[in-house]
Amino acid sequence: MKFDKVFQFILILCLLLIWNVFHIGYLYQKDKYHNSLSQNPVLIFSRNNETLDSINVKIASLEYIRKTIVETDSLISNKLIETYDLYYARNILKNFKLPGVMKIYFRGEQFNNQARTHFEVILEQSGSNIEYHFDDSTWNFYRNRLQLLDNIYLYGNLVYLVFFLFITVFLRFHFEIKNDHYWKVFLLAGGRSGTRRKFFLINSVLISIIPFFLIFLLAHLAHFFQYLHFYVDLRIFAIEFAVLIAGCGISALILGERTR
Amino acid sequence: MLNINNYSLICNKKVFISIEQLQIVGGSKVNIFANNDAGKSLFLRSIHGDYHKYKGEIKIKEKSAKFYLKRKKTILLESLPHILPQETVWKNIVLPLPNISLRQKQKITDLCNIAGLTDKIAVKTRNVSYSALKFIELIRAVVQLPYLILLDDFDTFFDRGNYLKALNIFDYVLDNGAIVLATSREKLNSFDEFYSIRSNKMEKV
Repeated sequence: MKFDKVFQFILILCLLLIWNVFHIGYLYQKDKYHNSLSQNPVLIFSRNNETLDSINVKIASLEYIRKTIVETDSLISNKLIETYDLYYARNILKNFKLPGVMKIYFRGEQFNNQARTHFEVILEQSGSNIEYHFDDSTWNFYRNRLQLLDNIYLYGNLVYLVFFLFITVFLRFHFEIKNDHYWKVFLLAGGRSGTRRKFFLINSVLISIIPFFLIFLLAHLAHFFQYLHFYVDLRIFAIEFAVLIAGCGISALILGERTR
Repeated sequence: MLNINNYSLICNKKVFISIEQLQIVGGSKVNIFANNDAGKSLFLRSIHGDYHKYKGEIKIKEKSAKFYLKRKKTILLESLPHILPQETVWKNIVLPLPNISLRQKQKITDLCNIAGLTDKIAVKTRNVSYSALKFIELIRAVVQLPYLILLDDFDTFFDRGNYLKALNIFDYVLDNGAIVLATSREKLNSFDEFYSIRSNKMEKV
């Protein structure tokens, strides 16, 4: 019986660990895509610096905006001169009025389709003397990747949940049936009739609940000591816990009289 | 301690044993002997609370059989030993005991000594003889100090030498006021009271 318990404990611990690695992997990949999105700015060109300033004021408080950089014509011409060694052309450049540029960097995790539409409306309301360049191909690429990642995560979780529930129920059922002879002899020998139910509950705590709390503690400690930069949502842990409890409940129902 | 009134045992709509009144006081060894198929085993099972097709009432210490459904105070030993073969003799003896006191440990050791199991205490039960298995069951029953120990076909358990050892083991539980109720095909020696079943009626001999 001891082997049974140790085996079930280790298996459930491993399955929970795999499930949480899946969550962390998802968060890691999502964060990577969001970072890529946030490093891809929108460029707004305007000959009127005041327009750029007004846009800057309008969008400064928006949650999905990470930072804005405004570069005026003089700054741009100086950069061009320094970058391409155009010192001899300084006087020529002075004769041209270059447009000002505003670079807008977004927060990848918040800049979704809805935010983009909202942002475009603001730009359209800012007048016709601006032009903007949005790297649609990059944006679409990462948005599609994120959508795919979300789908994989959702369906992966559903499949794993069913698999985990099945394994939990199967393990309990298998080992309880295997111990039937032990409990039959125990009762015939004069053992108390409620002992099996008591042990079923104790085993449920030992085999299911303790591994869960170990994983929960491990995840929080790893986050606290900054080994893990992602925080697994408490709702995810709640689902895992609920599956374990459901597994025990279903096993008890299937086992019927044995655990009553 | 054991009171049976207006009892009739029914199996396949046929009455097997009928008893008007049976009273057995604590601390006595009672033997019920009858031929095969007289209903002895079912009678013991009905006292134990495993068989319910009977009329009348069975009371143990003034409480009905229903009272003992969840808190059994009787132990039934059948001809077939109920033992965990992969466990040791000791583990099988202490199986139903949640906590073993020092006194119980000492008592088990003494009873094992009487039964000749001392040198087999750490041996797995699959490697011991049938009579050793029956001794394990007896000691296991005795150390729990139940109200009643019910022995089905007790004459098949042991040879003459071991039979006397078994009676010796019962002394511990009898001293504590329990009843040992054994069935057999022939009348057994060294018991206090005898009953026989003739023409479906149980009569004191």
